Amino acid sequence: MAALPASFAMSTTTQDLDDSSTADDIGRLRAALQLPEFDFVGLGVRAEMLRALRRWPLLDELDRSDALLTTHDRQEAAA
Amino acid sequence: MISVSMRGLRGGVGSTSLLAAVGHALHSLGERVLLVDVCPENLLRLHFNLGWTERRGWARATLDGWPWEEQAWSLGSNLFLLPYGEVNEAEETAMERRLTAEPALWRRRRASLAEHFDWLLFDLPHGHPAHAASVGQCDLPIRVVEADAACHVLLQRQPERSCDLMLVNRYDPLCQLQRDVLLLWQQRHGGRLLPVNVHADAAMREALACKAPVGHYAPASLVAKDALSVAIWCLAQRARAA
Repeated sequence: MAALPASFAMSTTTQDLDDSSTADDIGRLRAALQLPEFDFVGLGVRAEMLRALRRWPLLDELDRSDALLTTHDRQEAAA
Repeated sequence: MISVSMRGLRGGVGSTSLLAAVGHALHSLGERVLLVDVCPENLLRLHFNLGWTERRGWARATLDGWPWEEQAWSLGSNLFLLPYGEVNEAEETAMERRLTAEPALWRRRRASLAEHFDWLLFDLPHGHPAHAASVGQCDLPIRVVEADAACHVLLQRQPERSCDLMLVNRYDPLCQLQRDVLLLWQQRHGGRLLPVNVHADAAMREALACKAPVGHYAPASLVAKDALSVAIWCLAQRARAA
């Protein structure tokens, strides 16, 4: 039987494991890197969404007008 | 008592059949259920074997000055139905006007029903805003949608902060458009979408033709199992709120 080296330090405390905010990998990474504003972007989902919008012109048109409105809202809020 | 409302985002999305199916499923799980038809079309009763010529209902009684609470039908132990009643076009308009003048009508009635039932299920009309408003805010307000372009456009027009939940009905996973629309909704309205989609299934249309809720007509069908899943989700929401 091999003994664990005495200097081996567990990087995750029990308290961390119990915290539901770190129960997923992204949450753990965010906490470890101290990046509270870190946004997870699912590239696969985004690509699939783009393909969906390309397939259906009406959905694409609505998406573009929504994006325009959002930009306009942001500009108004900043002004 | 938990109140649930189902209302189509547009007409013809199948919210009445779905409400009948979910009410039947909740009852099959041992719950005390009252279904209230708030739609002037008065179709909900046909899912529970009431006669086509039966004219009685709460709106008919309200217009005629009869007690509304005597219009309910017992469909077995702990399952009740309050139909709208038969009205003509002029009476439908008169009822809408009356509910505009008396906007808290159903909110008051809900309070008087609370101790007798575990669940009050309201079938709300797509149009007739005073009818829908008279019921007030339910614990689980559900917008029934189909994953199609028309519902997508109408969702875009909805107020940004709409808190109604969304239940996808007649979902066909083989249809590319439906898969694409659902993907967009999961990204944009993920928090509002119920975790259950109700699948397109001929059994649902056949159930109405046989004057029964789908769980009674075809208990082994996919759509009956979906309705049961929605009912179980409702029970989970109650447990979470407790």
